[in-house]
Amino acid sequence: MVHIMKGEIFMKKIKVIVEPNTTIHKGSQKTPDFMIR
Amino acid sequence: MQKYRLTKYNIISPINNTTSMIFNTLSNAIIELETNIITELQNGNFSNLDQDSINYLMKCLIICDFNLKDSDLFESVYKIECAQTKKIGITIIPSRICNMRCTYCIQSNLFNTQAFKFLDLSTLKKIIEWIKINISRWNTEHITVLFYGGEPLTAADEMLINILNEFDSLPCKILYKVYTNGTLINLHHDFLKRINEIEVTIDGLEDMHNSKRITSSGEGTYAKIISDLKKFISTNPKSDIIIRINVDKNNRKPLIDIVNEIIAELGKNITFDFRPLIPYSNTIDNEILHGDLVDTAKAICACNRHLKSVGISPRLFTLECGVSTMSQWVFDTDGNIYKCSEHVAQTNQAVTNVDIDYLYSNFFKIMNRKFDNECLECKYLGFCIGGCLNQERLNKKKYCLKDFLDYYIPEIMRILYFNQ
Repeated sequence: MVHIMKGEIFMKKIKVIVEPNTTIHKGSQKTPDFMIR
Repeated sequence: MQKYRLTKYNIISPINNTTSMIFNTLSNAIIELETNIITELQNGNFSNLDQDSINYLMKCLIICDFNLKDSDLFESVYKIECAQTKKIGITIIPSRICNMRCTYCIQSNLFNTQAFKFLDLSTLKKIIEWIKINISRWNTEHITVLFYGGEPLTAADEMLINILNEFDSLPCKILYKVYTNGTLINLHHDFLKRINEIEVTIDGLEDMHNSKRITSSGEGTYAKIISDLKKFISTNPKSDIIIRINVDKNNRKPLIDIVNEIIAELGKNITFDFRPLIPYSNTIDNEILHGDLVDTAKAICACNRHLKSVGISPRLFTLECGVSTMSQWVFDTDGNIYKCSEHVAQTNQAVTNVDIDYLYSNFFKIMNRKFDNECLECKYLGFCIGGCLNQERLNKKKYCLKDFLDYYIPEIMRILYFNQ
């Protein structure tokens, strides 16, 4: 399985903006991200 | 024969003339790709994608095997999510008392109680023991501890510090949050400087805020909150302050003026959390609160765009509720344990108690949550998880934010991730 990173453009077609199963945007950068799935 | 198909849980929206985004609400994945490829996928044509791309879209739950039912996909992902205990959320009620009487408060039942006004040390010890036993059983690594109430800062500072010390002794990484009305900050600097996120509600310009968020003697609280926050931030500049604004038809028009005034007072080292005010009674509805809910969504997005332009990172409004997961537990002052903070002090809603070692039938009813076909067919289901069960109980009907999300999700994603 190829691991595709955020920002990578895959086969010139898919641009990954947010990887699956990561935290979506919660604004503050100061707090650890484990509070949101 | 068609091998794959797009799942139902994708929000697809154009970014520019040639590309579109897909936000999958089950996996949180967001991708950008050419609009004409999406059209091909919608028509069942996957031949222009190589196998690695297909594999990645499968991982993102954007596509699935042609014969898989969407309801099977959602319910499986949901059950996995509900069972996870690596990261849990604990809500502590240090006090059932509140010094305010906000006009839209849904917790006034707490203030009528004469018993168990404050958490005492012996109940705290039992709560910690209950948590200690279970985090060991669950292999928990992270705990988010939320101080809630009533107004948590009506508790004695010594007790609040005791709670922090007890949680600090647990073998997990701990994140502390407090939801406070902001009027008692001056009494608790020692406690608050150990808190990772402090969320304070300000519902408008001074007059607007003071018409809703009043003390028990009917006085406005805006000036006091701003002054106390200013003082706290000046001595604790690294604290993470979140200003929550409940938005309805009365404060959405001047929303940008409201945040500008707060920024002028508190600086830019804060975050804003905008939430559409939602009805918690069957005598109130969206028409009364919002007129058109989409206008509230538009105001919130415009304000987030403004915040980004002045260098404050917008925050996504999320609807995820952990009531039916193994990762959300609420501890009341009397040792009763609930699955939802809005159930506190309603003992008929408790799921167990620190003194006993079995679960009440409420637990099994709450955990075995069912979703109707309307929800299972909805692309937002991974985002809203069917809405708030407590609100459904109080409103005596399901409350759906689909109209709000139709505007909000694509627009906020464009602001957050596509610099638009």
